[in-house]
Amino acid sequence: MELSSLTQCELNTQLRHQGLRLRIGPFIAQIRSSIPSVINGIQQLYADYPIEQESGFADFHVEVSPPRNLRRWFRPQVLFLFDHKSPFKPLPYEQAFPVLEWGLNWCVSQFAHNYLTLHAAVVEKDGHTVIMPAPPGSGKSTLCAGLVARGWRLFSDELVLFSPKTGEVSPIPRPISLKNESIEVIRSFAPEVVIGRSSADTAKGTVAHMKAPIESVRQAMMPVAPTWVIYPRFEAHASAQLISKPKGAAFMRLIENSFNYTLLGLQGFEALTGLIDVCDCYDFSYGSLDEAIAVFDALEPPSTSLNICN
Amino acid sequence: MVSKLALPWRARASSQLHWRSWGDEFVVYHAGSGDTHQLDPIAAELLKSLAQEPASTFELVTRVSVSLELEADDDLFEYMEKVLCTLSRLDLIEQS
Amino acid sequence: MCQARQVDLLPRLWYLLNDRDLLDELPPEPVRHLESAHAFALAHERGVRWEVECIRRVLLEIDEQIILLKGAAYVMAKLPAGRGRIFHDIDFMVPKGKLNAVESVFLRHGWRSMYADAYDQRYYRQWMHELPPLRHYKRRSVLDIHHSILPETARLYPDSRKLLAAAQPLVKGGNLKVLAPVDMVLHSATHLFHDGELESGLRDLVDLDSLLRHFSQADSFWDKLTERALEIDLIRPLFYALKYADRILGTPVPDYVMDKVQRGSPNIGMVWLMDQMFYRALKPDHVSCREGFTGIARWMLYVRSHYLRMPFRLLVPHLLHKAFVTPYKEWKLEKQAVKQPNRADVLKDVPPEN
Repeated sequence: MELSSLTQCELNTQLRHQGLRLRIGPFIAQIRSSIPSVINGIQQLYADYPIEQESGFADFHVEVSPPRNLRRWFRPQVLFLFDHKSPFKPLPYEQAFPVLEWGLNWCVSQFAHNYLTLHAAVVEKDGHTVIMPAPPGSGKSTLCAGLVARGWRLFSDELVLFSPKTGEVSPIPRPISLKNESIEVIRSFAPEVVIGRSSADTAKGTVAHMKAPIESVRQAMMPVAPTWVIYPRFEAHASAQLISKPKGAAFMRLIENSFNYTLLGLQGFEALTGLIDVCDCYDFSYGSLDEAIAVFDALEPPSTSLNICN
Repeated sequence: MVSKLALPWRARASSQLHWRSWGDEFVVYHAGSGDTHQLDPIAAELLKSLAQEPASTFELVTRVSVSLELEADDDLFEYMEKVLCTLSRLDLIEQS
Repeated sequence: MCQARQVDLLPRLWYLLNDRDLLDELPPEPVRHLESAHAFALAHERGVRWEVECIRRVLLEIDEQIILLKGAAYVMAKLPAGRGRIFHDIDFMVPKGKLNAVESVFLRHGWRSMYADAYDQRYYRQWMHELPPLRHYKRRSVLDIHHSILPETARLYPDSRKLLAAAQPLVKGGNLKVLAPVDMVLHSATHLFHDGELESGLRDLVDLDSLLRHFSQADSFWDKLTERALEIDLIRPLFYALKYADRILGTPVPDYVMDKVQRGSPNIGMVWLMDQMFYRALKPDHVSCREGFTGIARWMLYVRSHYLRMPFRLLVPHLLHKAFVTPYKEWKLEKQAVKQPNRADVLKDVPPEN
């Protein structure tokens, strides 16, 4: 059953009371909130997601609600609660929906050590995946949104779930978080995509979320082995340039972008070196989305990816 | 007094080192500290050599110059001293 | 699952189920969380072992021996109680006369006092059984250096010299020791029932249960335990420990031992009051366990443990925020040798003097 089949009233009741159980990739999040912007955001951006029965197991029990303090009378705030406790400081009330998104990212980064988790966007086409680790401001999410709008399957714009056991990346498709100018860039690049309400003045500037394509959501249970690791960098007016990156350097940079590499110890080392073994690694700079997408569409998978490396 | 250069270096917990290399890029995971390091070929050769058998700085210069076919000149000596110092700071080796 | 996570018992649950080959019998969804917690516990254990190794090396300089306490002791002595045990600081004990020497050697090797504030420093040094905690500037790990298992001002004052004398080395001739089995149990009991950290009260009771089940396999353990409790004046906490471990976790305690420790029991009114508080406070602090009074019971216990520690007039709100950051550092070596610029090159870049 998909979320869109709930009536407005049913959705409100579930979110306000027992909690809505959303299946997001390999996880089930039980979400509670009575904040209108959160309810609307979920209704709009998670419409195609499967919902689960309330009696089953949920991976993360989360809630977004205003803290009970006097500030609510003059400067309302919002808290993200995990297991009824708040891991973060309260944020302005207007940012309630982004707070839910950040909170869900936090849950995965803290409690999913069955995976090697990396901070990167992942997209897939024809069975080949690109992992794009990059610091904020490098245009990673914009490029990811552009690729997804042109037919690439969205795995995630923030999280890589790499299984050390299977050597595959699991999708965890969620709304893509767009910041500042990127919101308008994507609106004009792909007018057909759904973009939710903007929240101004967050720690990351203005934030709005783009809805994940329905095909990506429907294929969320289909993991794929990684093919490329590409470090994107947006440079205004630059022409697209793809430069091979030495594997050792790519490996060390992936460590910097990992949430739990150190925690996993030897298993993390084996998993990440294994990932680098099978992937071709590049640095990529680009100035226009069309050019960048043309380069991605023309990528040739590494010839060794089907062989066993020694 | 014995010169520091003659004192043998040895690898700390050599059984806990796990290696991987791509061409001339080496990475090593130290299972004791949980740290990962990227090493150049000289540093990698030094550490691998010490993991097998302790050696003084003098001996190491000879060993590395033979195995990597480098001239055992002052530059190599100076560079290796620097590398040894770094490896020691990273808890990978120690001087007895 | 949420309750176990709240008190850091998820990894312990993984070990218990794994020992009994039950993990495969469970639905995969909760098992993934247990496995995730197990991965976390392994990382924690690795961090502790490395930290203790660093401590051991520092101590070689002054040829001093230390006695690891609590979590670090369970891990390093490879006791079942150390498996999946998550803790925040490394605790150890040294004779009171050696405190300064030990503290200064750590200060020389990268540790810094976490409380620069003069009031905090005096509070610790005057009233507590430990030094102000030290934190390593790079690895962020925290050391608690004790000279006793209870503060100087506590009503019960076990003789630390007896504990030190009975301690056992981890490795023959090494400078790391742990308390003798009976003393380890008594310390754990004292910590739980006379210290202020009831947030993880259930976790501490699980420690006790694990220690008792393990050590009681040895001959005459129970006799030694009760004798030692009487000898060092810790029969009261042992009474509480055995009582609540037995009632809450079903720890097997022989009847004659229960009879023996009865002499540590307070009067009936006090027993009732303690029951009211402990049964509530020993539950995880999770909303599904909250009932009337729990918040108050927890708070009363906090007050109570301070009351036991020092003359009442000194009771001030004194909360410690403790944080353990698993050592996390990435180091890279320069790929190429960076040649030191020679003096002439450096001088070239200096702007000409006017």
